[in-house]
Amino acid sequence: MPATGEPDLIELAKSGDHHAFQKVVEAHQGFAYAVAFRFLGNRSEAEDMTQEAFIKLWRNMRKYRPEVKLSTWLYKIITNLCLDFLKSTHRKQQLKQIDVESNSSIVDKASEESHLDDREMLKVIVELAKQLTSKQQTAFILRDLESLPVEEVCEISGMNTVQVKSNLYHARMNIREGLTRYYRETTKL
Amino acid sequence: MKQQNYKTMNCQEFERQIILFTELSEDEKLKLEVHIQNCAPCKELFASVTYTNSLIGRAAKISQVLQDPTRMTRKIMDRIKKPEHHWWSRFDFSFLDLDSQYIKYGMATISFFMIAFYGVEQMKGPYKVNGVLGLPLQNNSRPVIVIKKEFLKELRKGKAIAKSLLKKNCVSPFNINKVNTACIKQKMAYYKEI
Repeated sequence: MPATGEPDLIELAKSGDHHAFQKVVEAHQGFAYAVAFRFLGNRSEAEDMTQEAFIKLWRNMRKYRPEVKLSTWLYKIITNLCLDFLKSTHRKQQLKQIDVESNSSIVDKASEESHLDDREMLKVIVELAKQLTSKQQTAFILRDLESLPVEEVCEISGMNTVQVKSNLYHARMNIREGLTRYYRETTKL
Repeated sequence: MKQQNYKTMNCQEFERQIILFTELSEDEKLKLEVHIQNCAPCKELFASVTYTNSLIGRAAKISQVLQDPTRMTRKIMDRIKKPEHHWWSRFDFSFLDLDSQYIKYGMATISFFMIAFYGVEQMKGPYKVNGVLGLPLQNNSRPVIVIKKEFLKELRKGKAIAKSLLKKNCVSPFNINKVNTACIKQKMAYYKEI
């Protein structure tokens, strides 16, 4: 993320300058997409959410306060958009069909190799994270996958420190159980 | 003295804290480290949790790369530049922070009062409206609705009022029997007066 000139670009974008906003998009879209992918685990959905996030950012640009980091604000927008998307009925129906234990694409790849590579491990973890509650998923992704400090997780999620830690605890327990179950299943194959 | 305190940590406490290892203070971490030196099952658990954390840590280092950033930027900018054709886009609602908790709670409160108002209005019973005859009951100030045209037609014909007509429109969803009887009595009284 480039730091030089960003406050100026943001100020220009706030005043409606398309060119300045384009620079902001170019600087942050990669990170926004990566975050969305960690929530959704799907390339096209993550791209759609990235687009929506920047449209929302543009529409709310005037509300932006310089004391908040733009990345924090963007995290907040993406997190809410992804959670809303996952909550939608359509997504729920899809989720019923996706079970990590029976996810053929992942299992097939795993059975080909004795151990998963890191990219496949990310896919498995993302799928397991989707089965958590929204709060647990938010805490887990922001803290463990995005490696954000607890204070920033609190700011993005609107939870307090105790709630973040509690959700993080349950999320990690569930992910741990899921990974153990997953390894047991794949080693049987 | 401090070392002794570390040793007093029980396994249940250890199990609870080890999951949040990265969030612990240095002092709390030290407590756990001292505990595993004397507790084999917890040492095993520590190794297992550390392994899981390392898997998650490795996965966290993988960053999904946007395949075509130029296309993405173009798509976003096209949507931003595209004029909005909604009629409401002519108005500036930016002063309304729709994500605000105040707006959410305000809307919820308004909805609650609207539902409550509707419920209260329903409880009041039927009202006099155009095309119908409102007959006030003797013991009750609530009017009963009768279809005036139909009722008078029957009277003009000199026919006896049919049972069905007597019962017609004399129901209230909240107090059926009571209102029904009173309504029929009232209709009969009205008929006699005419």
